Amino acid sequence: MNQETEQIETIRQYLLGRLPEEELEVVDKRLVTDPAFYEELLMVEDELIDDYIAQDLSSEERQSFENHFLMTPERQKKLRFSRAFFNRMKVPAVIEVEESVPSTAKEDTEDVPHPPPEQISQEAPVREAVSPLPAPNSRWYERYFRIQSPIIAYSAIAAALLIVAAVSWVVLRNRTPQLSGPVYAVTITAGATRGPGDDRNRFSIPPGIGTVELKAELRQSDHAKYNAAVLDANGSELWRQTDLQARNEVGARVVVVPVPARLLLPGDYSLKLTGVTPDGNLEDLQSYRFHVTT
Amino acid sequence: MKDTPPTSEQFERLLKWLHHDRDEAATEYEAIRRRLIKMFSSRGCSQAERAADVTFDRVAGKLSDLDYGVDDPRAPYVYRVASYVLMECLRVEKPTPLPPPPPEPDPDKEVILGCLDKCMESQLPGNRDIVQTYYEQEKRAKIDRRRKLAEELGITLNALRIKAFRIRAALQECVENCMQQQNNEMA
Repeated sequence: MNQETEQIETIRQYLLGRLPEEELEVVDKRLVTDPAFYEELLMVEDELIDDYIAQDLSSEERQSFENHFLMTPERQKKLRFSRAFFNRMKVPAVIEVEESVPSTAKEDTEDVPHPPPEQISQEAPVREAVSPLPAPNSRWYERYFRIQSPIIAYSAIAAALLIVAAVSWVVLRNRTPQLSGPVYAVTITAGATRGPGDDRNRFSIPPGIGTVELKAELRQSDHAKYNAAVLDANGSELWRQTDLQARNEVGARVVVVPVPARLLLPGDYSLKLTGVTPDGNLEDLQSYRFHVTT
Repeated sequence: MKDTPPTSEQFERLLKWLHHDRDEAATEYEAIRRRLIKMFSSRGCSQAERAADVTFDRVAGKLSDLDYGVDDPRAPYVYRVASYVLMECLRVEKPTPLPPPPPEPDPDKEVILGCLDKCMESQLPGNRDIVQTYYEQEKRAKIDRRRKLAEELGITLNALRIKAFRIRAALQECVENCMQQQNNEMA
């Protein structure tokens, strides 16, 4: 194995979380201090994704890829892009366009000869002969549905009503967002941004996430309970949670606010936090602006 | 991993420490920060961006006591501080539930493909040819084709690999911007 190949293999193992403990520090240090090594690592990231898409990873590597490598939203974005990219490399754009053209228009583009007009006009009377129109004095179900038996006709209507009711229930139920599915946690801080490259409070939600946990960092933590409201860019309230408690996390005190992911389309939002005083009054605390990207 | 944001004076000193020219300093800050984030996230620290900020906060806080030569590279010192932040992050962090791999087929497939077509169109024809040839998926033919392409361009295989990677990265950025724009238009 030459030096270059060896380096690529080391980076692969590092990215898959399979590098021995004693080698980690060396890679960490090079990654931070050597811009060329960083670029090499980005290339190996792409190549790992390519191998995953092409199903060229061993089963252990595949497992590490899914459980470790894909932990970051940025890599999930890369995977998403790469799938589309290879889809396009494989299938020329013109074929995809043809697929979405309605069938009649599609026929025009094909080299299949069209049947002569007289063939089409000969087919129509044949269809009518198979299913003749009901007699003028027939019952409604005979007239509209061509069904002879009243029992079958009423059963069909009852079944149709049941289906409509079930579909309506599902639609109405889905209008109320639910807190369910895989959770994606993100820490947000109050206050102004502070300098070049500051993209705090900007995040994207990976596909498949059901609930986003907004971890709002507290400047002061002297309330037993907190209420939180998520507002959109126009100030309309999208979501509210009450009786939340602060907890310790990574050197900070946070209030965790679970929000259904489907409410957070790309855009600007703010989270307003209020503290509940011992006598039950509400005290306005921090406001956290955040931005959801694609 | 405590975060004490630097004062504006400390932040200015940090920029000056990174480079005497402010614009260069900002570029260097960005570049090191990106690499720090990559290290933290690769090591399983889910709050990678925050950890990178904490690292810079601490560096900024220590600069007044630091005896550092004008020509000494800055990144190794930043790394030393980052290694402690990483340990703290891994020690206190509770394992978070794993996000599932993105679904396939992608619900936004058509949007992504539309944006990708636009972005491919905006590429120079030469670059388009390079990615199309380089990323041909058929395994055996792929190796031969890449070798032939490198010969045609008069560059080494590794130089071709870097070139293809950079075009692909630019395409991805273009596609993400395009999707963002479409989302904004829909909102």
